Order: sequence, then structure tokens, then C-alpha cells
Amino acid sequence: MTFERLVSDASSLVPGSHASERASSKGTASAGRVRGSSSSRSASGFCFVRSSLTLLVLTLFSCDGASAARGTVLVRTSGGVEAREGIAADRTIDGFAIAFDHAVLALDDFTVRTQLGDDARVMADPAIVELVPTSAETWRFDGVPAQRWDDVGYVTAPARADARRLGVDDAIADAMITNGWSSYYEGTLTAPDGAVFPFAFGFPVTARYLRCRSGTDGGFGIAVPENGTAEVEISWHLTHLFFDSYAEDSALRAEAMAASVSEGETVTLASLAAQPLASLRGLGGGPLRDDSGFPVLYIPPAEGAETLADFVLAARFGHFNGLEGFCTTELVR
Amino acid sequence: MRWLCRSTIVCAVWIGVLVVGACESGTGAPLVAVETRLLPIAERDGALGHGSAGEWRVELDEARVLVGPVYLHAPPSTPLLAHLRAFFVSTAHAHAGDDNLDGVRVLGEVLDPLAFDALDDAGTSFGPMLAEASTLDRVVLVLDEPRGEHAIPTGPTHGHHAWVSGRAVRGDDEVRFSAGLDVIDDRIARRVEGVRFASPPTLVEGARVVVRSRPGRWLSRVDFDALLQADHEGEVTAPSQLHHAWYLALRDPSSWELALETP
Repeated sequence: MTFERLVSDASSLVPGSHASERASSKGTASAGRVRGSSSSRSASGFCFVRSSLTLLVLTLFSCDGASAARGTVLVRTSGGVEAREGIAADRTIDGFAIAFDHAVLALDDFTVRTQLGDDARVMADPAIVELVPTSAETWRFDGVPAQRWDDVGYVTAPARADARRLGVDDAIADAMITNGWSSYYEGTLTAPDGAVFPFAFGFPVTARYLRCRSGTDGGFGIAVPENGTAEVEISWHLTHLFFDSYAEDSALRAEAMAASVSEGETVTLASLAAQPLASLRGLGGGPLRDDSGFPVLYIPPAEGAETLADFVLAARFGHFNGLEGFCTTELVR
Repeated sequence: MRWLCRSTIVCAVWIGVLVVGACESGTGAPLVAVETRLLPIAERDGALGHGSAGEWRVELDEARVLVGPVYLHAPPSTPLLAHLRAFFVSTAHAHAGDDNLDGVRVLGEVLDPLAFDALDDAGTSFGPMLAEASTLDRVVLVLDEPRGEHAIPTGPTHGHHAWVSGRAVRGDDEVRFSAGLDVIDDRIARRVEGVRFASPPTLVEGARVVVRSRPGRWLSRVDFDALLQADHEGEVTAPSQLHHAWYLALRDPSSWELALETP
């Protein structure tokens, strides 16, 4: 084996050399497979070159993290109890009951990595998922190296035409693709006096959920068991649509949304844009007040918000393996 | 054989150096002395502290806010260092990671708050500080609670996070007001985050980071009609629409501007 040949073979073991492989295969893949690993080679010839390059190969190979033991990762997407039962009136601070007819999520990617840079290179094709009334099996990745992967994340982005459709109405999926929405929510707000206000929100945002910490064991990412299955849930918490604060203590509130339209009209992001946070209006047309008679303050996200539409669009809904699982997020509007 | 071992060791050391060097290329920038300064800025064709709220003309006699800590941030990225930081530092999240700055590198910081008089042309300086000579993307301001000399009623903000007084005029109508603002104890609620550069510059020795505030906008969303109808006099008691509108304006990135002056 020549020096050049040996170097060429060694380069195939460098993790980054698979980037182009992944890029070329991602567009067509829907099955959850991962790339294989390579084996080390021996060399003959000059002792110094041999020993040095063997050391190099072993060093790089050891960085790859590949092992023979493999398992499966099964990813479900769930809207939780709210997707099935809505939000009862006694859970909101203003007595509004909330029901969801549709909660649709456009998932663009799912990544399984370690924080030291190893990448399982699962190939997650885009999917449009209906969360009402129950969870959906979104991806299944076989052949994932059995180990802890402590840098796991996912991306929601404007729906793509080539996305798989999982339980979603074609009309809704088509609207999401046309309008560039990454999620869509449709349902009703029912006021304490029985007045009903339909709502329909399409979110034109990209949100990356990174370095997720599991709600089941508190650890980063997932542990893939040998010849077993690591079950993962993207927990989409629909209550976030109705939080009145980005601070720690927030309440669920819907009157400000309902008051953005007349009874029978549909609440939309456009109607919420007509509700300035500095002077929110209640159903009677006057200032929105709390039980003590004071004006209601929605505490905006760190980047600020001028209207109720700005406020809602900054929401992050995604948890990881239950509501106690959190991810770091990057939001692009 | 001895030669082979020595060569192998030398080779291994070199490989180690190369591998470690490749792991993180963003560290090692030298530290430079910079200054962070708060300055007020007037609205167009107006004096400092003059602004409008609908048909009302607003003139502030006092406009002070406690500002600090202040953090100078690099652009968001996810290099290995950020991953390592996330691995070693446990971060609390309010809901599903709504902290935009988790993992974002801090180039420099000042921790002690200053009472910023937004009607004083001279502004206020945090003094010299050391910062990493790197790309500055944004400044994060914390509207922290008053402590020590700032916490007493005779302090610059009357013991509050911020203080204003002045008058609003519309024709023959006039509303005189004063108010103290207190912000709930929460990391998100007290943070002004979106004060950033369109084209991030690089910090250099002797640079001055200038954060400008627009006091003329602080009360631009206040409902002075309601105060007039209530025959308001004196200090407005919190919570009120004035307090909410003022708080939202202070948290609004458009109420602030950022510039970097280099020597």
C-alpha cells in the first residue's frame, strides 16, 4: 500500500468527509437509516510512516464514536392532553374554554449528535403532522449506534411541498405550504357567557430546538439501547399559545384574543396585530382588566413586542420527552 | 527501536496539537480596554425628553432608569465551545428554551448598575472594562432592581427601577404626572435584548460602546385621555396603563440605539 493510498483510505474515516454523502441523500430519504462505519487498516513499509499514520488513523477512528452495537430511535410528535381535550375554562385566568380542531406542525429536521461533535447522521425527511386528536409516529431511525447522544434537536420550518403528510387535511397542508407556515392552529374560544370565537393562526416562523434535555430522566438527549428502541417524544405544548407572559409565572388568558374580533368572526394573527400590548382591550371595548380591576400586562419576550400578534409569534411550543424536557431555541421570523 | 518510539511520541504530540487546534478556532482573541457609555438621544426636531403620545405633547422634567448589568455579546453561533458550555453549565428555562442568549459568547460585562439620567446630554459611563477583541453583535441591558444608595426614596429613581415626571399637553388640557416603575424579579422581564448592530463591528483597543436611549418614546403609548378624565394629579400609582406602556417602551429595542466609536 502506498503512502497516498493509505492517506486516502484514512480520510474516509474523518467524520466531516461524510457531509456530502448526507447532503446528497437527504432530499430523497424517508426511511430512517444511518451511514455505516469504516474499519481500520494496517500498513506496511517504512516504519516511521507506518507508525505515524496508524496512530493518526486510530486517533481519528476513535473520534468517530462508531461501534458495532446499534439500536433504533422512534420519534413521536404529540400535542398532549390539550390536543385531545382542549383547555378547560378553569385552567384559564379569565374563564375562557379553548378547543382545538387542528394543530398541525411542519417538522423539517431531527438531529442526533453528541456535544463533542459526533453525528449519528439520521436522515429525517420533512413531515407535516396533525396533532389532533392524538400523537403521530413521525420518524423511525434504525441502525443508530447504541450509546448516549447528548445533543439532540429538531427544527420546525415553513412547510415544504415534498413533505410527508401524516394525518393532515390536504387543504391545511396546502395552505401551510402556500403561506410559508411552520405550524397551524384552528379551534374555538368560548367565553364565560357562552359566546364562541373561532381562531385560526398560521405561524410563519422557523424555530430550532437545540441541545434538548429529556423530561423523563433530566439528561441531555437520548440513550440508544443495543438492539432496542429509544422512544422520543416531541412534546408540542399548545397552552403556550395562550400564555400572558414570558416570565416564569404566566397565566393562560384568551379574552384579549377574543376581543380582537366581533362575535362570530375568526381570530387571526391579523386581528391580534390590532391589539397593542400597551392598551389591550377587553370584550366590552374598554381596557382589559384583571380581577382586581387593574389593567392587564402581557410581559413580552426579551426581544420586545408591540402587539399581541408580535407576542404570540415569539412563542416556543416545543418540549422534549414531556413537559419537563426543555431545549435551547433559535427563532427566526 | 528507541528512535521509533521517540518518533512516534513526537508524531503523537504533533497530531494532538493539530487535533486540539482544530477543535475550537474562536478562542484566544486578546483582551482590549473599552468603555461602555449611556447617552440620551432626542426625537427629531425635539428637545431631550420631549415626545408625543397621540395628540398629546409630552415634556419630561425627570427621566432616570437604573441600567446594569450590561453584557457585550458575540454573534450567536454553535461552535464546539458553545456545546461544551452547554454541557457543563446547567441552564434554567422558563418555557421550552425561550432564552435566546443561551450559549452565546459574552465578550465583556459590567455588573454594577448605574442611574442613567436620560435628560443629561453628558450621559453616563460605566468606566473602562476589558473585553475580548472580537465581533460585537449586540448589547444586553438588564433593568435591575435598586440596591444600596439607589434603593432609598431620596435616590435618583426614588427607590424604583425607573422614575419620570413631567407634563402632557393637548391644547388647553394639561396632565402633570410623576411615576416610579418597578419590574418583577424575572430574568426575561428585566432584560432588553434586541439592541444590536446591523453590521457587527469588531472591538478594538480604546473603543467606546455607546448605547443611546430615547426618553421621548418612553411614554408614547400612554393613554393621557384616561388620566385627564380621571382628573389625575401627582404621582400615578402602579399598576396602571402608564406603567405598562412605559415598561413596554423600555423593553422595546427601538427605544435604544447602539454605536461603536473607535479611536
